[in-house]
Amino acid sequence: MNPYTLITSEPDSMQVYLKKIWRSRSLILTFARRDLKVKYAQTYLGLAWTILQPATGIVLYTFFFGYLLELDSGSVPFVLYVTSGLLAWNFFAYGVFQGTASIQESAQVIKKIYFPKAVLPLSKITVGLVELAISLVLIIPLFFWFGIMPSWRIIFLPVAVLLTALNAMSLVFWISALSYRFRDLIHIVPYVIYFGIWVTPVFYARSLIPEILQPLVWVNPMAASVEFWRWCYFDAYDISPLFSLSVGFNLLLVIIGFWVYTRNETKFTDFA
Amino acid sequence: MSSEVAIRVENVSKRYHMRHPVTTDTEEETHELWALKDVSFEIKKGESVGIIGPNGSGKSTLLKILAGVTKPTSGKVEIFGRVASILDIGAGFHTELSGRENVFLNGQIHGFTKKEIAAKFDAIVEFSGIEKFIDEPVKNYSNGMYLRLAFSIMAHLDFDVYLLDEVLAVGDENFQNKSAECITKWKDEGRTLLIIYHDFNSIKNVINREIDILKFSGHSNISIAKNDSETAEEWDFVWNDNYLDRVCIPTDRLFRRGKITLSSKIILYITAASGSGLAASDIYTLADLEKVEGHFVIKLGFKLAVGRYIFQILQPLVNSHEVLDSCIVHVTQNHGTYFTFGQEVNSVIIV
Repeated sequence: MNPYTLITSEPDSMQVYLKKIWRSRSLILTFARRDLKVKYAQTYLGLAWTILQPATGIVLYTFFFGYLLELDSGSVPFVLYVTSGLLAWNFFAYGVFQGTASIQESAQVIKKIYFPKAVLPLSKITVGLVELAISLVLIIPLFFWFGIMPSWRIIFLPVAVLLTALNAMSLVFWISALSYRFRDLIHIVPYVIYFGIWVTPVFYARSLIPEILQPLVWVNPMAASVEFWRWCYFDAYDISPLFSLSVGFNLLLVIIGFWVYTRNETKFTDFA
Repeated sequence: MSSEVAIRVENVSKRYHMRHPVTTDTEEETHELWALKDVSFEIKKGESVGIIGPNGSGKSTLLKILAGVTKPTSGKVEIFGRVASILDIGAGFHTELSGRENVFLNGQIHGFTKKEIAAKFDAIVEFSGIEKFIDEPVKNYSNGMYLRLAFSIMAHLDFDVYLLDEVLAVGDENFQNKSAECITKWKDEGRTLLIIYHDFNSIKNVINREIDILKFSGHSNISIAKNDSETAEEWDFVWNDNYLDRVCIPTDRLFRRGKITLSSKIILYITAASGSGLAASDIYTLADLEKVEGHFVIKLGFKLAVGRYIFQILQPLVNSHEVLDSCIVHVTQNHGTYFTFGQEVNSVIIV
């Protein structure tokens, strides 16, 4: 049977669009492979950079906040605490930063050939996933060093990864869907990445935040994700019931964001 | 040629929003620009159709809509079969990757599976003639190599409908020959082609080589001078049914009816680019049909709004029993713009 294409002024429904993404899944992987290849092509250290970058962050944060400022990290040693949060945060930051840039970056292609454009940020998330997997080796020696057994709840780590990926995709959807007209939104991305870490309990414990402001922490969907990561790693780590509310809010944001995105996607090329 | 429809375009319009207002013919300021207005036509399977028109007439917009790259503001497009949108040669190539990797990347962007691409891989490389460099990063390729590889991918993957944006305009003569051959091959295989030409020169060579350009020995140009200005437009058409078997033309808002019967043998469709400033009263048609050395020569005259262009299309009636052996359409304008088509094209849409 021959393929049939119907083009109208109506954007694809979410269902149709999801199907298109599913059919393009190998393209996502191809783009991701391309990015990984290009990223580390002609570098001497290659994939070692994936370890080096978070390692530098861990050393700096531990030195300044753990050693100099002696911030409280609760029941978990500070280095481990920072590492567990930072790896998740880096994955998120990479997804948002690259994901929002990916459509701009591919302006030349998307003006010439049609494919569902969500493939581009999704491929960036895939790259982030590979780098996350590699950088996770950083945390293993730390567990040994402190003689801490990872919690059995570590089996939920894939859920934590998924939550974080959804956090990133949510922002990508919202920003991409609106930034083609309101360019200001592009400038929000560095805010989210450089300042977002301060409102997320990455290098300080949630308990440091005054009681009265505690609920506000959960407004930030990334706070929920980072806490969930730690809950997976550490037996001694408790999570607030507010967490589930935050996750629900996050899912709602992703779904609405995706809907807004599908309504707007086809307009990108007219403005790109 | 089957009677199955390959592309059906129904009342397609496309509006763009301009950052800065433009002044319309009626002196109103507007941010809207209608690149296409109520365009309708049908292309049957196996037809090859050329689109010509001046800059800004909406040719590219039409092709982009068909390619799915941009959405129409209203209207409907149906395409039956796999679509190759060759709006640009080598779109989606990544210069850091090798030729081999780019073949797969590009094929996948066009919706093919790795398996399908692998099956054609050897043929693609052979046709491109860059076997030795296939594992070299594309950034080290010469422009010619790059184009050959990119075109070779499109040439070998199996599409039913080809949307081409003046691909012949790039590359050296060798490349142009190869791509012309390929287009002829697609046509012979019964694929559906839609080609836009911006510039006569891009296909002049091909036509020169492949068909005899008619010598306009006895024709007289029709010149129409506007009383208020300078424009003397010349329009000469020599028609041949062999290559242009069906011609349709979208009509814009000024010519909604869009169809004027000129003689028993010819139907003339008229269109003008949106915003081209043509008012109904501005146009009059002179047409007569005469036989010059076995060819029909159709002479048409249009009075144009200053600085704007109008393009028109002809359709020999199906029951025309005269069979001619070549076709050239010449549109000569005061700017010296010159459009011709023939050979690969069997019908023309002028936007």
